[in-house]
Amino acid sequence: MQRVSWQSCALAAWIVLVYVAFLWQYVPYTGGVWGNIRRLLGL
Amino acid sequence: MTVWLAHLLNLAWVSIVGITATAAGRRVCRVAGWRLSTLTERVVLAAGLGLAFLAYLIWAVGIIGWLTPPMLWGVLVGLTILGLPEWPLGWRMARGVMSPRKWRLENGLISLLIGMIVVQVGLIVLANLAPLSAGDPTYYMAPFRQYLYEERIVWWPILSWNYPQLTGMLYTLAMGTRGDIAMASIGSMLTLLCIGVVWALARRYVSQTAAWLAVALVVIRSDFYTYATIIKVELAMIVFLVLGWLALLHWYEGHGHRWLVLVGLCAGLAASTKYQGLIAAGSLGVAACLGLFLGRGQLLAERGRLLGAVALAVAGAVVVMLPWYGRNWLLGGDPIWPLGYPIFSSLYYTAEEFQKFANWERGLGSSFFHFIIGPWLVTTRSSAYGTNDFRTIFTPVFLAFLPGLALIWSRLSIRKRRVAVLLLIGMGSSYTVWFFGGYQKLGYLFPMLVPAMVVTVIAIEGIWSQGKVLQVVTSVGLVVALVLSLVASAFQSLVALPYITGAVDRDAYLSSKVSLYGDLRWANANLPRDAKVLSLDLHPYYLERRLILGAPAYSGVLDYSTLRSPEELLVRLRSEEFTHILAPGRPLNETFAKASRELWPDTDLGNLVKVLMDTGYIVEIYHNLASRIISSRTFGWEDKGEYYIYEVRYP
Repeated sequence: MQRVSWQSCALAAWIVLVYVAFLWQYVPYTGGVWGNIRRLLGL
Repeated sequence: MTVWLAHLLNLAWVSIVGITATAAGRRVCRVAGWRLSTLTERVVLAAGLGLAFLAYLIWAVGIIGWLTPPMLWGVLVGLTILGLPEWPLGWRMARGVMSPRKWRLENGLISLLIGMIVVQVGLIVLANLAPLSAGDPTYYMAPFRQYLYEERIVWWPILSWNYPQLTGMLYTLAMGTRGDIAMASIGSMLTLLCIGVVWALARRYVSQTAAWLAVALVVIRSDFYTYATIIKVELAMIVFLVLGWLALLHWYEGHGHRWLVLVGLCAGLAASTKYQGLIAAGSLGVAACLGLFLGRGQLLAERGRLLGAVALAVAGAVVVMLPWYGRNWLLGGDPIWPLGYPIFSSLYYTAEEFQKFANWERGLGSSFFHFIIGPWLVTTRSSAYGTNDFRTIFTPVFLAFLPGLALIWSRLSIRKRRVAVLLLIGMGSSYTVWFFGGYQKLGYLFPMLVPAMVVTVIAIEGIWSQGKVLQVVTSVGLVVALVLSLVASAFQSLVALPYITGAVDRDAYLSSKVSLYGDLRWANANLPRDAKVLSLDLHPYYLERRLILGAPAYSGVLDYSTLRSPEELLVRLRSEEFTHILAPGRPLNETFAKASRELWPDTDLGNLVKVLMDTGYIVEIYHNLASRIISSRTFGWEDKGEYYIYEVRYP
């Protein structure tokens, strides 16, 4: 089995971190995913 | 049904324009000796240059004062004749594109990417079936309508529109020959051209798979969708910039200094679409200079020829920019009105206004620390810096995958390294100007998009082969980014559905989507056909009368500063033949009083207008206390404002 280098793991972790941070920004400002959906539907 | 028929007609019309321009552009390329190797490269370069050529022809016609629809058709016919010798080649090109061999897709990933791109373009076309309703086009398209009514280029539209507007000439053509809705076809054409240039750049310097990925990452984004559906000039800017990059890299690889001249031309053309293009055009120059000293010393060997090419490139850029920047200089005392305020003390602008934008509060911050972590902030906090809707969804791919470049750097070919370094230099210089310029609006990062995405796909292609973990993370990351953006586009496209399906008619649709439309509708129904309107409304796009845009705080229409008596004001209004005045927000005298306080303290314009109103020379004929101001078409948010229409009665 191919050995996974620590650099690859670090890069993968960085990518996941960026995505989480990116998506997280939409939680507090829009009332969260559910809050957003409710608002779009006018509930 | 008529909506679809109109769209088909527009598509036919836009195809004629596109093919005509491409043939003419091809002729220009042949004469100048700019020959690229692949079909796509040749087509996109010819189309870009041809469209620019067409825009300048229309500008010239407008200067002479012949800006009528028949004359615009005449320009198209003239261009067709010019491009006639290129038609056999065009036929060969078309056959090449159509041949089934070309369309054999190598792998599933490419098919998936193409599928997503097709969906996104489909959503753009769908949204473009409805008449323009976003605030922006009804704001900046108005001057081009004004040109058509006046049958010439009017030299004094409101100065905030006075930024370079090469693309505006194409919009004028669309309005003059096919009406309002044809503008949307121009948007679709520029979308396709963007796809072409990005594909050509990434195909040449990375790989075929990477080319499709780069196109997907550029096109499937909320900001790109927005620009393609509200027909902003940004797409044209992107086209000219990427052509500039193609030419620059071609020159850098030693294909001759004539390519440097093309870099200058493309930079000038990009700068002729918008001020942002000026910064991005400068980044091409920075990349060229630094690139020379970083590793291509041999380009310096023919120093004489190089200097000649540089001189020609700069001269070319200046010549194509001159109509717009020169006009700003003549009219507002500032070639980059109003950005050059500290140097030129621009007319019709105040120190307070300059300060307001220079110290814009919604940016990232101004310290060096913020400069360094800017990419992180832009990606993870974009919703905090812009308006809180779908347009601010930036994809995280650049920030996420760029560090991968370091991991695979030693395995990259020299050619890819060179491209990556040059693009990063260009981006870095653009970013620096954007950051320290003070007005850190996220939308102004758009010119960096294509270089950013091409560098990103170089990184992605490299890290793809670095083990299972990275492969999985990368694919999931790409799917999340692209699908999110597609969903956002679909959501925005739904806005146009009631009109497209025929559930509501044009008037009802526009009433619910366009700010102050009801007031313009009243004006269209009640003002005499031969009325000439002084519009203080910044969005008079749907007014069907001769109009001059003349908000006092921005305008060089009337030199209000010299007016001292009501009689003088009346004489000025009469000399411009104004019969009516549109005044949104507040009564006319209050609008003039405010402008007077800010710009011309020596004259009391508010009072002059008040006297004319009291003595019956300016009469209020319409007053709406609850005008609808649409603040979000997607969410249906709206506010209320006032709207006044006055008639001017001359003695």
